[in-house]
Amino acid sequence: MKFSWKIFLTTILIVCCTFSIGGMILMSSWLQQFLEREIQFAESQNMMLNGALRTASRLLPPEDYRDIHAVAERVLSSVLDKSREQVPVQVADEEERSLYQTPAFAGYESAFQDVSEQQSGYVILSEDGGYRIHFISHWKLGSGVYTLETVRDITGVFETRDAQYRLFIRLTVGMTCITGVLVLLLSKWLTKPIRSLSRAARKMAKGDYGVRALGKGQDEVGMLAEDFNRMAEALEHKMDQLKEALRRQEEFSGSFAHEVKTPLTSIMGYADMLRSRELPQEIRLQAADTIFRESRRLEALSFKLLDLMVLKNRELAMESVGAKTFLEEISSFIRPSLEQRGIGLSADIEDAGICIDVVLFRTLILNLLENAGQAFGESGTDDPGGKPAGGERFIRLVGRYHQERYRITVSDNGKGMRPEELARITEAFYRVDKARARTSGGAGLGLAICSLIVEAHRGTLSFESEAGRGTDVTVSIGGGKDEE
Amino acid sequence: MDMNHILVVDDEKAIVDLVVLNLEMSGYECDFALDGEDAIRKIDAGAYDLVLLDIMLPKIDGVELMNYIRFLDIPVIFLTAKSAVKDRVAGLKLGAQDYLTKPFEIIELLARVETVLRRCRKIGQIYRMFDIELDMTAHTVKKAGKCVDLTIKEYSILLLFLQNPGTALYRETIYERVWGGSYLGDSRTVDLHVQRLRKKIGWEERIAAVYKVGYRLDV
Repeated sequence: MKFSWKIFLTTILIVCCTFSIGGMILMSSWLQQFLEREIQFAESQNMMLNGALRTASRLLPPEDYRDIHAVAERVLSSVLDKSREQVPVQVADEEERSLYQTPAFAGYESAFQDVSEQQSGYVILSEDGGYRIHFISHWKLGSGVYTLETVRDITGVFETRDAQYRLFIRLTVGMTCITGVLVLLLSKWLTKPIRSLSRAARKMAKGDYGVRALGKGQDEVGMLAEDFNRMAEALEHKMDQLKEALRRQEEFSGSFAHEVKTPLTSIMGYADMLRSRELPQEIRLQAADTIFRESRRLEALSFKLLDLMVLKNRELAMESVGAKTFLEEISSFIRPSLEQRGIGLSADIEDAGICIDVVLFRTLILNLLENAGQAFGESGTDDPGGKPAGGERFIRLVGRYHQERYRITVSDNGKGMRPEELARITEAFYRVDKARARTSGGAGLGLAICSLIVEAHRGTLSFESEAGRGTDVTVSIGGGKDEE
Repeated sequence: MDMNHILVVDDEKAIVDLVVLNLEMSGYECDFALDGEDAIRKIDAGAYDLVLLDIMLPKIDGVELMNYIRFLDIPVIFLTAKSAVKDRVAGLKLGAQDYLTKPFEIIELLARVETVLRRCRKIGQIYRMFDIELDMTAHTVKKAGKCVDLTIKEYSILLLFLQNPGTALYRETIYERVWGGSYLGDSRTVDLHVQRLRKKIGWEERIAAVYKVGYRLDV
């Protein structure tokens, strides 16, 4: 059963019960009060008549005691005066023989037997839907006991009660209906955020992670909606990450397949030629040479890939070294080969102790310097993009200690990159200039490896580049100036 | 028969050389382009019967190039490393005649080139060599003007020899191309069929056995 229906039915039940019980108590107490008043009234009337009859009958001489009828006639007519006709009164002797009756009494059953002979008292009788109080009192006269019975019709009281009862039932039904409608609306309103939440959860189960539950406010449901939305956000974020990871993975496999298939095509093709035909010496040499070079390319690719895989699982062998010695050694190592290509290298390094895996970091810096060198194009080629603005090809290696971090920047004044290229350069197999990278034997994995190394050192790798102006690559790692 | 002109477009020089070399040895005239721009220049300048096109190209990629070529009524075979089915479908939807994934075998490349040229009526349907005449449309083989009865396998083997004269055909190659499926080392099937074919068309000397390899049609 739905929550709103539960609220609705429970409330209706409670309202019905409370109304009924309360109404019953109220009405029976009313009835009680009215009855008591009527009884008092009947009693006082009876007592008054009794007193009058007693006094009058005592004035009679004893021999006339039998003639009570006349006495009663006289007394009652004088006391009741004109209303005598309407008041039902009966006077009887001890054998319950009626001595006197007013006309209004005719038709009524006497009720002597229900009241004790010694005392006065009353009995309420009902007959044909009518109710009346028979009040009975006695008085002594000589040796006899006489009975006075007065009757008071109280049908009106009960009729009023019945009318009220009917009214009350109507009222209860009406109130229940109104309450019902209100409660139904209220419960729908209260459960609306819950239903929206449930719809949202169902949608999410179907894979729509962008859905959010409506509902605000400080109550429990509002808080639940907020919690749900927070959860949905976290989930969506996670799903996006997974999708992104999957996309990268697919792209990696795709690129990998391409990188492997290209040299394989040449190797297979030339080998097939060699085995199927007698070829002229020149072509045979060309085929063999291509097979050799393409195999080398495959080999280089497999080594780089191995590096990449090892890096992902490798424990770092961290040691503390001086930045100046470390970086200057690398720059003096690579300087000759850069100068051969007409590229100058300057090193401006502030000394500080840095904690690094020396082997990996050396690979990192060498890779960055190599990349910077490739920003000028091949040596000896007339590539207009490779000519720097200042006319001279130059790479700067700068090390700076700043706010407990050591920053190494490799800047070149080569051809730079466009923003859309910059965004993808750390992806495996991405190459800004495909054709040139192939001839220089690059696998397109250099920066992917670099970014993994930096990540392993809990550092950051950032790029700044402008087409035609050059590129700055900055590595920032935690370090200390402990050696000063 | 006129020589067919073929343009090979690939950014990998080694592959271009390989393809050009083999096509030239099979009697086609070839040109090549290493990037999209160069390809468009060459297509505009010369009349080509077929373009072999890589998809990942510098400057203008193969897909864009395809959109340009398709209005020129030049058949195109895609030559690419993208081997997923959806890439194939996308390539064929672009209007390419065929789709060949790298790495490919030379013999397959030649077969596909020929099929496409034949389909586009760029070359004739009849092979003539010595006294044998094979008509691909009529599916008939004639020796000195007289019909020779060949089974479908024998016919396919003969066609393979005629398409690759002077080339050593490995048993596995023959098996794969004629029977389909991969070769499981059962060389007797191929040998039996080749021997029967030789006898039927009287080419006992022309179809030479190559020791440990297979057969070659000597020219």
